[in-house]
Amino acid sequence: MDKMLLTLITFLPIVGMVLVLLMPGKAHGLIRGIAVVTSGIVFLLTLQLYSIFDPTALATSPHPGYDARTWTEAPWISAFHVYYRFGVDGLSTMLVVLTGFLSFLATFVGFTIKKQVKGFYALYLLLMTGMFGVFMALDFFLFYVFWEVMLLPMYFLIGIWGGPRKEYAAIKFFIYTFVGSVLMMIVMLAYYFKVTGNPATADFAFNIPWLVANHPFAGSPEVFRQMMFWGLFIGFAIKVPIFPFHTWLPDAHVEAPTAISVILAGVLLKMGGYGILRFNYPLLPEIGSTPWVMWFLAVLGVVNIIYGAFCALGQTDFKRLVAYSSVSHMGYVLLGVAVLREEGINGAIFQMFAHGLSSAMMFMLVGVLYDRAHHREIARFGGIATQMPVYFGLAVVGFFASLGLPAMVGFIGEVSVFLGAFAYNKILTSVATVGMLLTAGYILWTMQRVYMGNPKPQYAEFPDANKWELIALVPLAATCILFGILPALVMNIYAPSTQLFLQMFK
Amino acid sequence: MTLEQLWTNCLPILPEIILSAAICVIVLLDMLAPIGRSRFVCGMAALVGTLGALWFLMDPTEAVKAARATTSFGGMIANDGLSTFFRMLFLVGSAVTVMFAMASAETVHYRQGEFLALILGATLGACLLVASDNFLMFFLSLETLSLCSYVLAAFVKHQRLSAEAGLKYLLYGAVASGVMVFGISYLYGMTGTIRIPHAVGAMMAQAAQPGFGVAPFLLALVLILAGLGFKMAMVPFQSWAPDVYQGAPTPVTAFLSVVSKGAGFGALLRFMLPLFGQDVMLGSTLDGLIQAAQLPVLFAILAVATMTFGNLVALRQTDVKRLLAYSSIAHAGYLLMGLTVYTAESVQAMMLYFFMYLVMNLGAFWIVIVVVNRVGGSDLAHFKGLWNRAPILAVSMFVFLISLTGMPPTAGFVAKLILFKVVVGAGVGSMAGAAMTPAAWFYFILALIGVVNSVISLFYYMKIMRAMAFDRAEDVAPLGLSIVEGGYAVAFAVATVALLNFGPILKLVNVL
Repeated sequence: MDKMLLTLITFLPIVGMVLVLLMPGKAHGLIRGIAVVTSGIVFLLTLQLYSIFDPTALATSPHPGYDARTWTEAPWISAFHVYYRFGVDGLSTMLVVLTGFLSFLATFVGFTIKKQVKGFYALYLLLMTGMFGVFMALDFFLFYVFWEVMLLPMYFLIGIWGGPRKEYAAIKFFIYTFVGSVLMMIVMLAYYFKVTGNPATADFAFNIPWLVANHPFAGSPEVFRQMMFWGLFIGFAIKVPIFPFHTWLPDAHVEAPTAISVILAGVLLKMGGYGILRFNYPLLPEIGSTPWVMWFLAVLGVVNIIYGAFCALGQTDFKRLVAYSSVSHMGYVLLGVAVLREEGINGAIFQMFAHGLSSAMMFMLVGVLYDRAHHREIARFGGIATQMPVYFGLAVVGFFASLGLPAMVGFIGEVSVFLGAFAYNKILTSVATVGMLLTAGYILWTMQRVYMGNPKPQYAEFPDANKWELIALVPLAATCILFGILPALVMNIYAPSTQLFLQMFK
Repeated sequence: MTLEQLWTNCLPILPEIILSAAICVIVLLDMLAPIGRSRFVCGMAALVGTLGALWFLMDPTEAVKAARATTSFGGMIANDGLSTFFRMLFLVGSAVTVMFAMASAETVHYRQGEFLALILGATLGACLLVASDNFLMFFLSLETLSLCSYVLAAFVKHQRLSAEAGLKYLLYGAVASGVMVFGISYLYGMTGTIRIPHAVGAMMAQAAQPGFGVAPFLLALVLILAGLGFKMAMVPFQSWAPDVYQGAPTPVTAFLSVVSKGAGFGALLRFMLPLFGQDVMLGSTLDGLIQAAQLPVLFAILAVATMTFGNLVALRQTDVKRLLAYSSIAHAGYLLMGLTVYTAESVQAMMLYFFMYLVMNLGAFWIVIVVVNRVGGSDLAHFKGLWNRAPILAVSMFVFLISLTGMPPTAGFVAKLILFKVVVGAGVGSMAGAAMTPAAWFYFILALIGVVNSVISLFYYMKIMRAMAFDRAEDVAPLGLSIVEGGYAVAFAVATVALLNFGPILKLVNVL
């Protein structure tokens, strides 16, 4: 059973997709039911993964750094040395559980979709397979396939069910990510050629743990390794997104339907951070630890934090504001990783988790309001708190978690990143802390404009959050608080992996 | 030549003999078949002919296998793996074209027997072209292919576009052939032989001599490239392609984009084959001729020009047939990248690319045929709302388009992956220890231009997708596809996805 777990998690959504496609197009209830049940079972399976995953055994595992019990490996295309190879370490286990959780909740958010329900859920389930595959594939070829497979349903989910500028947003998202992936492909091919050049090692051509352990390009020209590092980095930076590759994000997030914004912010952005931690640094640690590269990336992270926060401050559209807050929050991830210190990396990973919960929740909150008001202009709202008290209570949790209030999930990651960064460079970190102030500024100001003030008559008959909205929002609010108080529940999972990660730089 | 010798010589070209017989049978059947039934009767005969030929090609007797290393008819026909592989592609492509033609409404009022006989005739020319080991055979079979193609392009003669396409094709083609014959005569004059490997081999031997001037060889090569580049739609010999692709009946366009292009490409490989199997590097270890003539640079320039031109011009197209014409020019460019590396691996990568290209391109053209039949045209506007009107067509087309872009999980991804692997690999192989060499930069930049082109191509492929999925059509009635229409689309889409598992195809191209 354990051996099948990763395969089941990845491909069960495909089974659900086939079932959805077999249903008559008018049977909306049935289709939604299948989607909920499928993603529910998948979520339970990810919890099963969480429960059997033993972070302390990673160092002594027969597949160093990866969980031995769930490791899955079989030849796929022998002539090209492609393997079907799945495995998880602490980082991927955490992200898989997060993905399972968010994609289960987002299924309920998708209930507001009224047109072409069948197509929506079929693509949604396909997207799930792509996401899980990306986080668990340990064969470069397989990873690349999943990376692109996830792209295709996303294009349609934004382009068909999105807002007014959906076509522009969808194609922009598609092309940005595709640029990144073709650069990744060149790097992958360089590794393939180098490794297959020696018949003794040929079979490891796409084997990520092997490539990480053996550094086939150790003696190659420095400039070539730099090119490979930046090729990979741009591919992942687009996804994170890191300034100046972030411009697809506000468009895609704003135009996407709420359920898809939740997935985009909660899961897809994490793929960039995951890729940087899984590929960029481990494959080329000597480039990542070059002083000027560390410095450059740390500055880029700070730019992300400050720039994203300023952009968020200037927005008049509620959803766009939340989108820019993601740019700002993901800057912490880059800053934490770039300094290559244990606190920093643990903080960066926790920030990925925290942002997954809080940004997903914020997009849901915006969606709830949009479904009632049919506009998202911050200036036209006001006094929602008195009209929708339950919803307001949840909104307070979501926004304060994002703000980084102590005892909330957002706080832990930011503080931990700053601890690492402060040891690296005090001035840079001091500049970055301005980002926290700005974050507090735009979040409090937005809450004041939207929720406080006198109730407006045109919003008087707004019903409070309904049961489907509560099903999606309450678990997120609960986890935002729970993991703010007990961060060790998450940190213990990936902390041993971070230590293994840092050993590469010694 | 005794009767027995004749039989041994004929065995390897049994597929071509079957094709010739099928052509005669079709012409006769066309006269005998009841009026209105000739399309079906002749079509079945053509299918039996092509598939029969394919059967004999793919399931050879021991005698044929033993003859692989030899030539037939005193050095006229080469029986090697290269010719076997490309003949297989052409027979598959032609069988599919026949199936398309039987279902297309564009040619329904014209004489079916002639149409199918011409398709088989062109296939015969293409098969013999890649199999020819002798410049005479080479030119004759190229002309057989060309003459049949001219007529096919102009087949819907009452339509201005089709007639114009035929005339343009003929005029350009005649010039290209003439130039090529001049190049062949030049090579013959220099080496004194019309056997292809002997002539190229003589040039290679001369290159080893001191004081060797490369200009004569280069001149001959460029002149021959004019003729073959015309067939491949390579820049600067591409200008006929958009008009002909747009004007010709769609099954013919599919045929030209696959079989005719493949014939040009296979013939070029046939000509260059003696040069392959050299060391990877551009530096001193390359064969003297390749190095002296700077062949990697020449082909890199042609490749970059061809793919960039095709992709950039395709961006502005609104007719899907014309768009696919430019797309096929771009694909010729990707293929030419393979000719910058002179290893056996590179030939295999090009062959594999062509195989994948055949599947996805035929699939895309089938969707165009159905849309032309049902909606009445191949303009982007005719594709609007297809997502709702005929989801099967739209999803299949989507698979073909992402495959043409080169994204997984499709055949096109594998094709690009393996081709780029050869180029990137040449770059990695050219690095000297801890220093970059000019050759390494050359190959990395070429690969980068290749992938940038893939990204550009995404724009125009997505234009079709966008029309199908996002735009609303005025007429929203479902198309109500027939089993054949939906079935072909699904079959090609499944094949395009299934070819992601390309292990078996690697074995197929592993013939050199």
